[in-house]
Amino acid sequence: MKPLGRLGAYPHAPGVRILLSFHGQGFRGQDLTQEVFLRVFRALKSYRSDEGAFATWLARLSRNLLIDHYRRTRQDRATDSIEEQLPMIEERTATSARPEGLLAGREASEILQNALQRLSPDLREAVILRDLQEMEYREIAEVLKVPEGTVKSRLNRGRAELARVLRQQRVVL
Amino acid sequence: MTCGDLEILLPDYLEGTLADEQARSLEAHLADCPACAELARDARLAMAFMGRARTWSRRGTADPDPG
Repeated sequence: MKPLGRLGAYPHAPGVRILLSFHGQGFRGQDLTQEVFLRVFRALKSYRSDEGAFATWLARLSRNLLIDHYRRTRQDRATDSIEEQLPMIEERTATSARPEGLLAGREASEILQNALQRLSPDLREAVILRDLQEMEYREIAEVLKVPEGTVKSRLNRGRAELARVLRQQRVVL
Repeated sequence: MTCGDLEILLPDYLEGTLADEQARSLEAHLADCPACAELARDARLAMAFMGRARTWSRRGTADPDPG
């Protein structure tokens, strides 16, 4: 199987999900996604099937690459305005409220990604790293170089803002 | 408990890892503070939605778990 074919076979693996969560967040998100996928592509040669499941290997590699990226770019990112980070996204959600049971898996994922893009970078990264990447608070604090209390504060506000955005999109919570 | 205290403890509370005594103290604050109660309610709703989105996404199905 071709390497990229293998990546495509795991659209919902944790590592791929986190990359997809960042994708579409303006030029920086796209840069990150492209960079990480390129590095994953290069690292595929090192994957050995006797070391565990490919999805697990990919999740671990993606997390490490993400941490590297944050450490390298954080100073630069901190100078960005919120407006610069917010993408010009297409409204793909319906204009009328729907029961959540009608949401297909793919649609729910798209709605979530679009809603996350509406958050400020500080809040978004806290939510993504904790709730989607499932990193420990200690790890997140290390990556973002802020105290754990700050991580938790941002997480609260990020989650609450996400709920408000979803309600604005008429998603029944 | 102050609103600042709650902000630090709320994630652990919502994730079910807060000690019982602290949880009771936090719940008492929520009962008296509408702003913190709204924060907690919205945070919980967002967590629940993300959890369902992850589940549906992994299953690739249009039918979420009943209930």
